[in-house]
Amino acid sequence: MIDDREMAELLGEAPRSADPSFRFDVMARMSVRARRRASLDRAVKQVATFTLLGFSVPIAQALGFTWADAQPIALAAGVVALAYLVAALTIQGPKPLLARSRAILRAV
Amino acid sequence: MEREEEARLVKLARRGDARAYGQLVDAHQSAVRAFLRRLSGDAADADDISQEAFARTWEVLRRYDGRSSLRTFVCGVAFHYWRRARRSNRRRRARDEAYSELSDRESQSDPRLAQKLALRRAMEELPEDQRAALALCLGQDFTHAEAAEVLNLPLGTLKSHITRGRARLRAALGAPAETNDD
Repeated sequence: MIDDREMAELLGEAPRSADPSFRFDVMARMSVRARRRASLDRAVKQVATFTLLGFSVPIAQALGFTWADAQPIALAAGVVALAYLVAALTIQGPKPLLARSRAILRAV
Repeated sequence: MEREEEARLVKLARRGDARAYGQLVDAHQSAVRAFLRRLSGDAADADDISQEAFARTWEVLRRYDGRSSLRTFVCGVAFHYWRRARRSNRRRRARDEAYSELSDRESQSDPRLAQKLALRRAMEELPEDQRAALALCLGQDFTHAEAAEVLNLPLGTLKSHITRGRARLRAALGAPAETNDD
């Protein structure tokens, strides 16, 4: 007479001991998933930023701003953006930025 | 693994300690892999889903409330992944049929293999929840309460799944069905 445990063994045997290679594979999958999630987050942030920038022009126009009105604001925004870029380059160094530009150019 | 030790490792893993999580993987991989092997009938597929389940558990470890063992939580994730893989994998059926034909020929010389195939066929015919309930409880790896939590089923439903499923498997082996549960 076959019992439950025997039936379970016939359906699929349990591994006798913990397999280290299984743990390594799990760790590898964890890092792949983390990388994928980080790149997705980055993509979402970039899309959101550029969408916001793109929308700012028609919204400003709808609010009655003409180019002549917006010129000082645009100039100030440009100066702030430039200052941010210089600050980022000073803190991080130009290497990551250059590497990124090279990667984008290579992809194109 | 002791509950206190598991709680300590979970706490460390939640803070991002991958080494602590590795210890948890080592402690629970056997139960999770056995569950999926019995469920899917294919060791490679089972290990693949198990790894994916452990990797996903690392991401959602904050949702684990510690009321049950971590392996119960991982098995719940694994069951969800198995169900999803089963629905999306159209090639599985073709492979199973080919395997079944091949095995029919082999089973004539090996009585244990014939039993394995009969059980596997019977399992394939069971509804998903019933199949998973048997995969969890037949090897006595999980209590009925734990299995009910993994499958998100009431305890009574789970017990009836096991009784009916066990009867179907016994019938597939040509054994008389039992009347009592547990």
